[in-house]
Amino acid sequence: MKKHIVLMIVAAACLMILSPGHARVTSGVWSKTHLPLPAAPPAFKNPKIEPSLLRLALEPQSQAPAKTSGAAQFRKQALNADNTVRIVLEAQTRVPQGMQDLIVPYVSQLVTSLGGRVETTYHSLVQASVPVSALLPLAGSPAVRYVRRPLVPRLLDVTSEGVAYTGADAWIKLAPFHVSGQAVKICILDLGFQGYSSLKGNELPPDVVTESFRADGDIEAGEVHGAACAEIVHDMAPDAKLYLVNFDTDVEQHNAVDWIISQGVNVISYSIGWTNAGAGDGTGPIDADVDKTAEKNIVWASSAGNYATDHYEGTFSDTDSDGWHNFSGIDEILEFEVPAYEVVGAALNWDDWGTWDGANYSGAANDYDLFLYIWNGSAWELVDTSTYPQTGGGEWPTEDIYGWYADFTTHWGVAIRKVHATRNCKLEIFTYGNDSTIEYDVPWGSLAIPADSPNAVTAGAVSWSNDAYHYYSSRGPTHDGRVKPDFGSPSGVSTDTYGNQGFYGTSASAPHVAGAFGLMLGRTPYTPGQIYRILQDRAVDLGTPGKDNMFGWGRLNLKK
Amino acid sequence: MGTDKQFRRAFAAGLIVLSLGFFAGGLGAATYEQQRLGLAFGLNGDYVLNAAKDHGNYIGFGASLLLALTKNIALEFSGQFDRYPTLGDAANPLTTMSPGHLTQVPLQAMLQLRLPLESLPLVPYITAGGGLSLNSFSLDSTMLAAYKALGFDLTEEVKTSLILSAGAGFDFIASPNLMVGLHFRYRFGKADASSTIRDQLSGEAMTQALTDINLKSMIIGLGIKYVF
Repeated sequence: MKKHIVLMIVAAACLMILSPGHARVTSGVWSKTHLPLPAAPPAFKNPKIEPSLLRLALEPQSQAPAKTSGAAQFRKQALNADNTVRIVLEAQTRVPQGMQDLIVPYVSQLVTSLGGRVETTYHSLVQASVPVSALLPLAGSPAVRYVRRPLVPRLLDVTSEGVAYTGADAWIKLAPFHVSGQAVKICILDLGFQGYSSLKGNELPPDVVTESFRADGDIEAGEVHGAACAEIVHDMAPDAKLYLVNFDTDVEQHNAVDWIISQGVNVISYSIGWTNAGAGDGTGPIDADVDKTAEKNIVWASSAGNYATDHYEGTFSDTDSDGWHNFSGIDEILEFEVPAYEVVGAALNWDDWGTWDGANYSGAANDYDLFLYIWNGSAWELVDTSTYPQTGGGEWPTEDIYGWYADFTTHWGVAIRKVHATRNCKLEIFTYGNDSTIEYDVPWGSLAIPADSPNAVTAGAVSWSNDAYHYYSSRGPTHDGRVKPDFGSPSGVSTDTYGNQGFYGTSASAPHVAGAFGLMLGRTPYTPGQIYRILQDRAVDLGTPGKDNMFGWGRLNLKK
Repeated sequence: MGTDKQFRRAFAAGLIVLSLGFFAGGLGAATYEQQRLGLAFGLNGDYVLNAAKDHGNYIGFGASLLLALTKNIALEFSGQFDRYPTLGDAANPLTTMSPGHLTQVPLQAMLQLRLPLESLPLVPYITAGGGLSLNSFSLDSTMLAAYKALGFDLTEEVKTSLILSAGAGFDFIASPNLMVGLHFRYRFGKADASSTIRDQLSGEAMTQALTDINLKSMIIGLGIKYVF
């Protein structure tokens, strides 16, 4: 009997080890640290092939079979529908006399022999679609100098559809009425402006001011987001002088804001959101930056956030008295599905910030911890914990976990445990990585920071073509009960930066609002406060009549 | 280009006026002694070159009463009608008018020091004086319509202002009852104004004071005077 039991345990252990789910866990298939994003591929090296293609060629061979689907999904933009990839082969040009006319036909023949198809040739260039398996053999051929993806043209003169939709086009044509002769200054405060140089003189003004407050001083920072925002601002307010300013941390942001104020900027476009950076009632260090600019009459147009489907709110409840929060009934895990390679995380905060004195919160005395789980196919496994102690010594009532990913699409979960609390606090969770609505989603109150600031003009996202509310757009109210956002603003618009796929998110909405203010400041002598009231009366009321927590006053509209 | 055309037309008109004057005087001339100026009524046409770069040049018209106090001193009361385009100046939004038309009606009293020549039918004079300019402004209709279409009403008003003038000229005594003349004047003046934009929907209005609107101008004019 004992022998049978031992055999069963060994067999069960073997099954667990061999099962795909367990293999992923024990072999580190899902792991913390760096992400396999296209912008930062692993350090595969081969001087004859473009890194992204090399990665494409190597990964299916180097990973477990379960990885293939994830890898393919990750690379779906590189692959054609028939699982081939379009490349350009640069044939060797340094070949002996008399061989030059033979080299391109030879390379073409090589492509065909490896299952590929030559699309066209030009001098020493061979454009072809080839199976992924042909990439390395082609690169290894002495007749091939380099394998790369084709260069593709950028769309030119892309104007956000939001310009006409909001009526800004009519304003652009107006002669200014007794306003300062100086151009309105609009700052796009963002994380990176990759590719902005190539947009200058076309999608951006020929001259823009750039300033990086990152530690490495990199204004591009491998991130195109800011460039796309700047495009929209320029579309909306073509006469404005643009300041492109980036940062990476809260400290850098504070320095950036001081600098922006010193430059006499009139409007800030801010398509960034923070969680766990304040009480959600307009206080905290990030909101303090907004307050600083407001004192100088600077408009701060802020994205509402894209958390409407990633947000939970509820009072701590432990119906089964085991110390864990029950999201519903006795369910202690909030689930959300995350695609392969998406970064997973969660932020928890609760209503125990204490008082804000302009620099610090008095802090939390109630202590909760956050736990992250992954569904391995048969059970929830603990991945990470956040157990900062809150002792009443000025600690913030926050916990956060970030930076995990899996190479397969699966469910993740978060749980909350009470360490000690004198009352049942109101809990708030933001999740990262899910592209569908989380379990127990509470869209209300899902504003990012500083969208909660009373001094920010907060933009939610609506369709530029039919005013439809975009499901992800964060909603009010703020934690102190104020209605937000202020306006619904176009999203899904065209930009050169993002191409035909459209620029979605409240990130696209805020620059429309910033541009609208810049445009009106440049045409009329109205103050920012007056312009707000004018836009308030012109907004196309959507949803609940009057200002509401989805559309604010309504869709941004500059027309009568 | 248009200004040059106006200028040529003004001088053509001036020549006609002068010719009519000479004709009326039988192509003859009279001396000051024959005329004995007491009171005269005059009409004049002026070409006005505005000092403000955003104000267009123009042709103005006026009327005057000239009252001789002595042989060498006369008092002139004049009224003028000037209407000229303003272009707006985005670089100086608070000291210029918007695109539109500014109308000035200067009412002045000018003292003339007249120096009749003994042997020629000419009376050179220098003059200086001042008065009030009754000003009004009409905004460019296209601009008004563009703002109105977006729900905004624009108004711009310019106040009455003090003006001073100084200059010189001469009258040709065509006959005992008729003088034709040429005059040059420099008119000093500035005005205060205000602009208002008002949102038809919210009622939000912003009124700005516009100060020191430049009304300085150089005037070259031709006139004809009937001597009573």
